[in-house]
Amino acid sequence: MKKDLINKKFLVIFLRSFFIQAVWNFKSMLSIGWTFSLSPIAKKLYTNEKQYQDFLIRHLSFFNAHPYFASFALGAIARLEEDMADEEKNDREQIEKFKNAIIGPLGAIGDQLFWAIIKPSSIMVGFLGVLIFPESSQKLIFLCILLILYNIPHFYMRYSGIVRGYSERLSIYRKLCIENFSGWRRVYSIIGALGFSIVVAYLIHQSIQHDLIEVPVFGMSFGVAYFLRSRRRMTYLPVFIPLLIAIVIGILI
Amino acid sequence: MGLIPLCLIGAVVSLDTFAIFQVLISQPIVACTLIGWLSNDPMTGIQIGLLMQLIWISTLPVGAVTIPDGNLGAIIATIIAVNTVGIVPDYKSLVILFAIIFGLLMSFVGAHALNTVRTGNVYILNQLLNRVEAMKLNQVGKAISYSLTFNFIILFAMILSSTLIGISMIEAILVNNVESWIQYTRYADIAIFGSGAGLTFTLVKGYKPKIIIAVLILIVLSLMLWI
Repeated sequence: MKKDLINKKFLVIFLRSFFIQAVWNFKSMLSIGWTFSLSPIAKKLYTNEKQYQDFLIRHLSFFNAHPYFASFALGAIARLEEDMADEEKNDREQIEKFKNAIIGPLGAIGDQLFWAIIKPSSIMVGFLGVLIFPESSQKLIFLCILLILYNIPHFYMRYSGIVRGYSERLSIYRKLCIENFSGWRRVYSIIGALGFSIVVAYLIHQSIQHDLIEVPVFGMSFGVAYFLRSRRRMTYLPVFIPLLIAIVIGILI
Repeated sequence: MGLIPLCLIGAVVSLDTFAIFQVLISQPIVACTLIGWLSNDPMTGIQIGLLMQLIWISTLPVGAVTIPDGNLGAIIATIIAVNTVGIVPDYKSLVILFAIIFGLLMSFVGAHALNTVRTGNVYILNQLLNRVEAMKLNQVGKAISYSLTFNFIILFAMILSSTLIGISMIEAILVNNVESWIQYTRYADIAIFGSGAGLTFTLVKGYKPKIIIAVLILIVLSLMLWI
């Protein structure tokens, strides 16, 4: 077996990882996209058809993770597959155990970091610019800033995850805790908090200038939505109840 | 741009939400602006994008949970609005409001459409496993293209059908008492913004109290600076 995993292979995994959720399903979740990302490496490693078939069966079974953080596992598994092919030993059980163990941390950190912090914070900056600036060109610039702010950590995590996973192998598991990403978390939390504060202040200010009744309507909607969502209601009630109250106010006043 | 090309673009952009890339181009503020711009009505797109964006920021696709497809709803709302505002330009604010309400309802249907796609993907997985068993080993890429095509067709069909239904509904609603409705719904925009801000604020609920206090102080300071 040839050890032929070089940097351009990282790029291939990186590009293919954008399709990792393409065939997300209720049975094996990410497994098809995951296998698609790893298959160019496996084709190099396993020239024997039976071995390549074993590889496909091994990886099509089940896998789930945050789509960006799956890169850490992709890198590590690429290295483990390479080692297994190189040393001609059967580490199938070890690969299975590693994949099962890493699902939880990858999902938890990715959800906390990207869905709960980086995504809303980046959107908030774009939202603020589009809301405040009057010219279309200025709004467009802020939409570009939104996409850049979000995709810098996104692309970085996808690529560096592969490289780090590859170099750390099984020990990448120990590096996957939210504290190791506290820099990103802190910076984007501050950006998000600032953006949100200015957006709310701007909306209140606009309400004061436009029609004073809008201020209590804004406050009521804010409070009702916050209260209902805190009680785990879906998005619909927190939006439709304030909307109905606003229409009733519109009829009465 | 015509309705069909807009729906096709809407379906392609919607794939970014769950299936491929996930670079945020499907977020309402980006997607609605893009659709508005392609329809020569960027301001309507921007307005709908702003109104619908805050509502969905706090909806997190954590784990394998199926959530309302707010991005799809926003795209449908924008296509409806840009195709209806031209017919009744005097009632633009009302058209946008109805389109947003319809888009919100469609986000619920969108979640079920996503479940249909994911159930269809189980069939694609089973077919793929059968082929691998039969030593047909170059089928993974094909499985991805089949799934994306299936996903795209579902999205396109949903966007097109719901847009046609939405346009007819709005045209029917805008026949009677339009002036009264404009008066009644004059606080609707600020209520949607308020709800969106309240929903977004739930994201900081788990933060330390000093961060929540800092956010509140920042709001007051920004407000004082403006006033």
